[in-house]
Amino acid sequence: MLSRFVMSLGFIAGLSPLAAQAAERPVVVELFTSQGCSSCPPADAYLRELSTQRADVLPLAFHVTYWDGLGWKDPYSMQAATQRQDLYGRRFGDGSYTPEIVVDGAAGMVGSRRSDVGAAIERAKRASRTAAAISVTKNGGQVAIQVGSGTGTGRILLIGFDREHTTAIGRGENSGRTLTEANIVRSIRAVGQWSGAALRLNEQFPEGQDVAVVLEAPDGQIVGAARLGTGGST
Amino acid sequence: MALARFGLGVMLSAGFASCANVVAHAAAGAWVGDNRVAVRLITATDHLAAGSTLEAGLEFRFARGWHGYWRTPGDAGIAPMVDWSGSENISRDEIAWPAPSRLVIEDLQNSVYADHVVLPVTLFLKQAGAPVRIKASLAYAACSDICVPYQADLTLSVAPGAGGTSAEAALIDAARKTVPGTPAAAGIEIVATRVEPSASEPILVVDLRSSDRPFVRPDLFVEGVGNGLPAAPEVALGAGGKTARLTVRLSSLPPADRPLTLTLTDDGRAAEFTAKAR
Repeated sequence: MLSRFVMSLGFIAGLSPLAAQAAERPVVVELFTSQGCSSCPPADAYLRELSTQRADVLPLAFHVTYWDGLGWKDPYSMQAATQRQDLYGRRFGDGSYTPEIVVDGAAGMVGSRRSDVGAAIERAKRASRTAAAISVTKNGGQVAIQVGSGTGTGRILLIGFDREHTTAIGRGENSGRTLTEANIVRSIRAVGQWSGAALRLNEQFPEGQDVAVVLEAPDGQIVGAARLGTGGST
Repeated sequence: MALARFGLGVMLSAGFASCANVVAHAAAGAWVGDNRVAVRLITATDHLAAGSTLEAGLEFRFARGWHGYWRTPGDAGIAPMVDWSGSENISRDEIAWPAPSRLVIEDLQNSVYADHVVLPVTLFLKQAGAPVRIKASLAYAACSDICVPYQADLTLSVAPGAGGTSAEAALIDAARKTVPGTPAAAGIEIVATRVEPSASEPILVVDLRSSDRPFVRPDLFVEGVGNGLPAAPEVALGAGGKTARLTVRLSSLPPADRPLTLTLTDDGRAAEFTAKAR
């Protein structure tokens, strides 16, 4: 009885596999930002809204290092964020700037322009480039990553992030002016290569409170994503 | 779309600049930049006159809506940073900073330049009378609704020869006049400065008297307290505007061993002075 039910679900999914997957994998929204950037707070606020209001989106804030000034450093800035944006900048031909939002690795845009980002999220959902289902679960001090079978190749990125931090705005200390930022990436690491066959990985729980796994195609586009506990598709 | 154009613009101007470098023996190097911001090197003379220094400048042009940063950028941004070490026959440099203006964005205090600014630079020669090749490797920022980090290599060669001012000398002269000097030169007397060192909210109080014209809208840029920039002062004018009390909330208690550097700006005049922190 149950197996027939599962089979028929599979059959339905088989009829429109793209739609089924699109509904289940979050669209990855990467914000490149810094506490040392005067133009960034509106984009930080927008990303925080996405993190609380949109289950269909995986927002991640990468704090870049190039606004770290003399004697001052964004506490969440990391070289890996700057490097990741640099790769996008080369691919899109628009260099690095903040705030920039990249949607599903496919397009970069000004991070505070909500209508542009909203439209890009909808486009990503319609285009639904999903190569494989991904799930990630916590297992003691480790995370178990499963990538399903599919077509294509990609890098498997393990991303650790903190859900929320409130810090003094800009470089002023004790000024009483604060900024709350969401989903701040604390670590990003390529943990494996996917070549179409299903695979399982066990990794140390990365730096950060929460975990996301992203499958990145050779052209940089994101073709799979999951967040800890949310499971994957199919 | 605009961003893609920007990328192209950079490539074009970079290509143009590298061609120009070969032939640049004038008082201005090529503009390097894009449709948001561009920068070039200028000198006050076409040729090296006698003497052991060369007056130069970094000239920035910002498109409408864009700004760059002062030496202390504030709560955000980065100050222009120049590495002259690739130059020939230059031992050291002294950059002067024209008075900035204050821009507050989302509670972030920024000290900025908009539109057009020249940073006057005195370059000290290793050997007087010998040719100079200036190479300024410049890192700076420009912001509007986005902030963009820039890197530019500016070069300019100046050969010995008959002196005489260049077409760009006036730009450097004009910029020198906007560099804050002594209070006396600006017609301002510093009556008293004091820091009230409350732990929760220390404040700086500055009492001023203007010897000629009244104060209009004085602002005070306080350097030496933490990494940010304190907000604009509360201003109380008296004696028909001839006296002013400026009260600044400091974000943290300033260090006891170093004086604060204060830059006063008001209606086209500016002055720099110091205040004992405690």
